[in-house]
Amino acid sequence: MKNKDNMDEMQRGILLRIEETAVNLVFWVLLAAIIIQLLMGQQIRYILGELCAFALLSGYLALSTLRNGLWAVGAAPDRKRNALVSLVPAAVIGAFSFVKAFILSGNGLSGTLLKQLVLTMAATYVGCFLLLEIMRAIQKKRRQKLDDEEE
Amino acid sequence: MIVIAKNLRIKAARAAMDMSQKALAEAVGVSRQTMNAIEQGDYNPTIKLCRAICRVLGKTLDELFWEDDEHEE
Repeated sequence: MKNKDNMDEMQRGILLRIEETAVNLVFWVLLAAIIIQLLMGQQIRYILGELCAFALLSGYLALSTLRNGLWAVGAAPDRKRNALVSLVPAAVIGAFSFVKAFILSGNGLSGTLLKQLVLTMAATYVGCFLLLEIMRAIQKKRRQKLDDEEE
Repeated sequence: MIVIAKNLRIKAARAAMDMSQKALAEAVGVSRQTMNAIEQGDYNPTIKLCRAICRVLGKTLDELFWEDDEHEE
């Protein structure tokens, strides 16, 4: 039952859970680090490494799950849920833009800036929702293909 | 959800063959930690490992691993 790396099935399961926690940790810490650095006024070119690592990690997770016809643990792919979940990045981007434009830059609360903020949030919301819906369609198609495979 | 109960039947079959947990673990190719977790009901082994345990202890899958419906929720 032990394979060449001298680990049995339970130990491998434990290791997979540890690695899953580590990936989650890296994902959120990297995201927090990117947001904090951008808030502190760091230029994009100086955090290109973090951005590339984050994009690679997110892209790999998304593509691998879709390729296997999977969605998320404890959540079925659903349009209403996607509409709700898209509010989160819109709110985060809104808060980020608000802090950056009004608090850190010391600008006053002008109508133009407020309009830009609302537009940014709306664009983020629509972008995320569309992306999730495209992913949902791909997942559904892939799931169907995997389930319809001949015995 | 499946709740795994303590597997006393493996322990009894092992004792009947005068086999320690370590010896059984080595015979089926897993660590003693894993064998202990199976007996304690903390780990649900794959069918492959169940069959290996059965072969070593000279028992059937039913004899060692069959559980009544009351353990499955």
